[in-house]
Amino acid sequence: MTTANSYPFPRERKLILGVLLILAAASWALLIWQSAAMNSQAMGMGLTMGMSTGLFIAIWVVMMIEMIFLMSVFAEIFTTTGGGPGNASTNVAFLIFKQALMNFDVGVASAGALFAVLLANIAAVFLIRLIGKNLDK
Amino acid sequence: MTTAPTNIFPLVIRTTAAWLVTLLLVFPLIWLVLTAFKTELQAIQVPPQLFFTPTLENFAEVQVRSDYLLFAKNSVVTSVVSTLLGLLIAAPAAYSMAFFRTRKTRDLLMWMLSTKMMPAVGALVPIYVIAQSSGMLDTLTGLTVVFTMSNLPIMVWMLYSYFKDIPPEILEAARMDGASVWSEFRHVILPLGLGGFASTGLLCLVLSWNEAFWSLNLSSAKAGTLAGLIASYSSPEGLFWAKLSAASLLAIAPIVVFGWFSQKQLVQGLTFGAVK
Repeated sequence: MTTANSYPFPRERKLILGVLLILAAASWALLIWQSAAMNSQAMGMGLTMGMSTGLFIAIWVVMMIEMIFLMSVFAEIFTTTGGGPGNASTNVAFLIFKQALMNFDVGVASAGALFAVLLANIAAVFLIRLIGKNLDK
Repeated sequence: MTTAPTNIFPLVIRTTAAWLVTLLLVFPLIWLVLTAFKTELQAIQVPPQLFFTPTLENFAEVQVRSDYLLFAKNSVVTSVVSTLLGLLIAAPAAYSMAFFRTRKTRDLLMWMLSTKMMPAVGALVPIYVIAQSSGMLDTLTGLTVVFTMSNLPIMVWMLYSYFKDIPPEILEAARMDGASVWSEFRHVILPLGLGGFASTGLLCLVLSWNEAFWSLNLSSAKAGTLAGLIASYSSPEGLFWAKLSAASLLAIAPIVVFGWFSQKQLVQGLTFGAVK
């Protein structure tokens, strides 16, 4: 029988919240894209809240970069809280570490790692596209 | 002659805002330094003391409890060797990408950058298993190889952006004079891209020095770097903030001093060659 403790991801609610955040960020990206295409500034009501589209995209890119890097925070948790109390300060990176090197459950840790990579890639794909566009300029 | 009156009010606001932001950024570092010179009791006192009699007992305790010099030596060896190794690998890669572009060069660069966006923990299990089975767990060689690999995408990108600004006509002229690939690299690329090499090297030195994830997971007593020294001051009985701060200060001091003296090159490196 699967108990709450033996369940591989007891923090699935937070992971779902993470996915929702990524989706929210992705939908913002699409909105900005749309607003740039329809010249909403000229219509007097911009989705970019009065800022120029360039500035808005710049802020969004910084947010994405921060999100990507903050998702992999590890050393701070390792040194200060150790993921505790309980699992209160455990993030995906620390959860994978605990599963792999403390619980010796390599299978679950690998699945978690795939999940973490997928999350980061969803955030990164828009960023990479933006950088790619600027690369040839 | 009269000059047009200038409105200094926005300037004052801007300067104040800049100082406030700077203070906000530097505050954790100031707090770290203050806590390192406090006793354990003073460190956890509420409200916190800003004025106190400084003590060096935490530094003495760190020196007695851990072999600081061993950790420092490991940090120096891994960061310097990984930077040099990285430059040796990244330079030819960036050279070929900048001067012999193909249809897939852009995709390759993008792919390399995207690996930097992948959380390091995604590769923890395979790298740990490889390190264990090849006997490189808790060795300087293992750490150096991993540091080199993790910084390689940034190094290739930075060198690429510097090489891209070197006019290809100069290389063509060198080839007309009969220069081989090596002499072209040695006598043209190296002198022209020296600033790029310095910036890339400095940045990667700092990144390797600060690398904590791989150091904590792949090393312990023998090959532990200064990041491991800091982490060793977290104990199940709780945190000893003053000692932890003293260990942190000792760990970051060399690289902060180094960064202070090379900040011009570092800023150039951080802008990926965009500001020249």
